[in-house]
Amino acid sequence: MITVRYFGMVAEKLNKQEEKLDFTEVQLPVALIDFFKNRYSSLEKMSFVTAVNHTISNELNSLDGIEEIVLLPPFAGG
Amino acid sequence: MKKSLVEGPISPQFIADSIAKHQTKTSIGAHQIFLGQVRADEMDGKTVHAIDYSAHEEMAEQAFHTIREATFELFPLTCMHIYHSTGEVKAGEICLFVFVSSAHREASNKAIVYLVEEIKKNVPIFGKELFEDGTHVWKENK
Repeated sequence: MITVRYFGMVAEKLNKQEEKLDFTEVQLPVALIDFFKNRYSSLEKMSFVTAVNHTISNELNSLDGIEEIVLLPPFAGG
Repeated sequence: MKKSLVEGPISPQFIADSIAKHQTKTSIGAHQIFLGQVRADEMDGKTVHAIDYSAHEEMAEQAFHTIREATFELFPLTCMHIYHSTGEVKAGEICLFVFVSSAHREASNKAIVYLVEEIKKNVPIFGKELFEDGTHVWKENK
């Protein structure tokens, strides 16, 4: 199981900040943005990037050592 | 790793104290400071009264660290400090404090512009603009 964390507008749309997902049945490599847009129709029109183990990446190639996937909506710092 | 995220607004006193601490560093000849302040934007007849900032804290601190290292590589700076708020910051309060110092003005002048742009582009911080009536919109850097 991989911890998936949601932030900002994405967390609000899904009404949750975190969940555990089982990726063992998912055919790899997988494009994460498409994966989450297919899984959650409410994200279909949203803009976000994904990060795997704290590095921004849209690709999940392997489950080895993968602890966290995050969905990050547009940044608004400053 | 130096921490940049701070809870709540950045007080003018904190900024003044930070300037005062540099008076002993006499190799410095130029400081540049950028202060980001929450703006009371108007949208559809409603006024923003605060921004509630949240972040992926580990990624944000890592991004600040990477930006700091890159900036030191690019410009001959003596020192650099970056603070960004999390939580609620009211209109008129400071949410970002960037402070660079160098021997001569050119380095700090250029570094401050570079730093602020990098922070806005690359740090995973999210902002919920809160209206007086309890509604909100999500801010997005352009």
